[in-house]
Amino acid sequence: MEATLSRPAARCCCLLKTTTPSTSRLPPLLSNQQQTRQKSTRARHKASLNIPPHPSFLSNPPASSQTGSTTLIFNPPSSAPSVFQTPFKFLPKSDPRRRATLAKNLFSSSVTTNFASQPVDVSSLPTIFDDRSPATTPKNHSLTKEDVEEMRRLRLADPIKNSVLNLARQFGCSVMFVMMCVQAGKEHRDKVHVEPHAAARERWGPKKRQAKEERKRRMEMLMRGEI
Amino acid sequence: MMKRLRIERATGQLLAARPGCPSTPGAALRSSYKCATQVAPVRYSSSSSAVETEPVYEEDGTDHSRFPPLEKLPPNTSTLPSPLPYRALESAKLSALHARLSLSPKIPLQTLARTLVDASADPNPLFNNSSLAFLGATIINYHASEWFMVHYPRLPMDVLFAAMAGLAGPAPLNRIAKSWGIEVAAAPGGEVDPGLLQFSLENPGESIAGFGYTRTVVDKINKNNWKRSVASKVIYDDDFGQLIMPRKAKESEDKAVEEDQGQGVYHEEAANPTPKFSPTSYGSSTTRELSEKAHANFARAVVGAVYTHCGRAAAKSFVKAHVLCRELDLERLFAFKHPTLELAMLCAREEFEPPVARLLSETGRLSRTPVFVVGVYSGNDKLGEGQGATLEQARLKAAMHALKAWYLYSPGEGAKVPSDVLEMETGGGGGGGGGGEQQGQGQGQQGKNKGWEPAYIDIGELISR
Repeated sequence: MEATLSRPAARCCCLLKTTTPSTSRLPPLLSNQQQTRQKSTRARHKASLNIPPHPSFLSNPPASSQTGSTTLIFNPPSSAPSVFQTPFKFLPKSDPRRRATLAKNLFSSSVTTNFASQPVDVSSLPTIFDDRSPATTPKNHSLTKEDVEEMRRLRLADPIKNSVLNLARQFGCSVMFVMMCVQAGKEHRDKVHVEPHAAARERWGPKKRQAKEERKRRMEMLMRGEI
Repeated sequence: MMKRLRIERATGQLLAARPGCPSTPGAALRSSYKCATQVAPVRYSSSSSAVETEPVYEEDGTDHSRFPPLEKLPPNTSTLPSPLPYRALESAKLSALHARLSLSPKIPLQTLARTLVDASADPNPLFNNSSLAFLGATIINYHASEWFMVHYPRLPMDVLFAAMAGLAGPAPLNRIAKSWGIEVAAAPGGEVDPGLLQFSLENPGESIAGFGYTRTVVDKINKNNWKRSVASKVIYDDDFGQLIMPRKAKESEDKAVEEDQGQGVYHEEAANPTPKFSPTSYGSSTTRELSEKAHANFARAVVGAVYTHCGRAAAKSFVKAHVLCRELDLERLFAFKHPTLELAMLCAREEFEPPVARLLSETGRLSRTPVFVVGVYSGNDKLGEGQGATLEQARLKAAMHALKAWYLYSPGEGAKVPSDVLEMETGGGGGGGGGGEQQGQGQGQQGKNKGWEPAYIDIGELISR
């Protein structure tokens, strides 16, 4: 109680408490607005904020610094990387920068650094959109003409059951390859992709319509690199 | 991208203006001073006498008793479409412009005066700047395209067209000309100061603007919004990939002559050949377009004049100092449709491992404003990184970042362009400045000049559009 008295707002509360007789209603109101923090959460918050300093601050000063010369610490603030810094893999064979960083990139390439500049193995980073990534979907590059004919037959027979994704899984090829081989009929496309959306679009109010338009415009801006 | 130069055609008659002692800027100032002292005193008339005497109208309708001429003009001057060449020596504006641009004294003031006469002001090609502008355009576009080819060897052709237009197109040249402090004459004529830029708002003249062909289906392309392939843009369209509009065929013989030529020289004309405005109504889009065209042609003509009187090296350094030094944000010229697909195609072409998107860090996934940082990896190498409010957005940004990093690879500022070979040579070989934007140019010279290395040029487009 002595500590709270030093705060001006708390003093007001205490004054209210002493002057007004009906103070029994006030404390629950105030306590609702205040954030409660238990011992367990406080410890967790403190632990998460405990980020180690950048390695450039921790590295031992070189031997020359003992003789009186200054040490340069280069630790720029985090920012989006520039597109004019070409990745090692994109440098052509003739570029001198490739030769300069060849050894470094060959021997320590499987390790990257996270935001706290701690080394992290690349393969341990979680991948996103695995199903869409061409790397993780194994492809069967030896489909025969009969396979393609079969794929066409299945797709045209029942386009709902044999969707593009199902056929790609069944034949072990990419979705793009299925779409290159066979296209479902126009009536199927209208039934599945056009009519339900058109019906839903009819029910949109002005707010939703505007939100959808803005989302579309935002995507266009994204593709132009404006956001 | 560049076609063959035909320089001798452009400047044949121009060499008649001999660079010499009386035409240097200092001498011009002296001679104009002499002129001013020799000129007979201008006839002034007070207002009281003007009331009494009948106003004297000249042939152009000007009341010279109210508006006395500032300098003595030769007879019938106002009937001429552009000022006489010798009056260039008396213009203070021209001398100032000559000094401001630090032009060599080899360039006579008469030539500088001719660069200021647009084809719309004086249709006679012996007196307007169309030939000089054509020459200057070829020189500017050659140097800009070789600079882009060597310094950004992987630019897609569409982006290269846009970059060329952003550095050497009419809009930047208009701005360059305005930054040189050019003033515009209200209307062209023989009596205006030769130091003013003269172009007509009533009659958009025809001037040769560059190489290219008018497509036979140009009307259908415009009407149906047909797609033009990049290859056809290279072959048919102008240096900036813009469609060349057909000339308004006035007479059938004119059309026949045009078909006979077949050299790919096209003529520039305003979009609206018959303007519906009076010359006093300034500020419309058509007048702005005409003004931009005239300013750009003037800037090109100055480069042509520098080339004609001072040679290739001086023209190159002039282009470098005024055009190539301008900053252009190449990163903002890109727009993608399917960046992840394009990146996968790039990795397949270059035999890299297929790209994988990995989540580097995230914050506030369940909040209103989450931030995800996604990196695109090929094997163990990070190709690009992007951050966005959704995983999909961040992945697209990372893919676009990787593609831009690929396309905007640059060997550095020190890369030598093909025309540097000509400077390395001590003697001879003056005529070969037109062709080489590929490695072939360097290979012949390699034995003689050990400083030259063939430039790295990418094998071509990733996606054929």
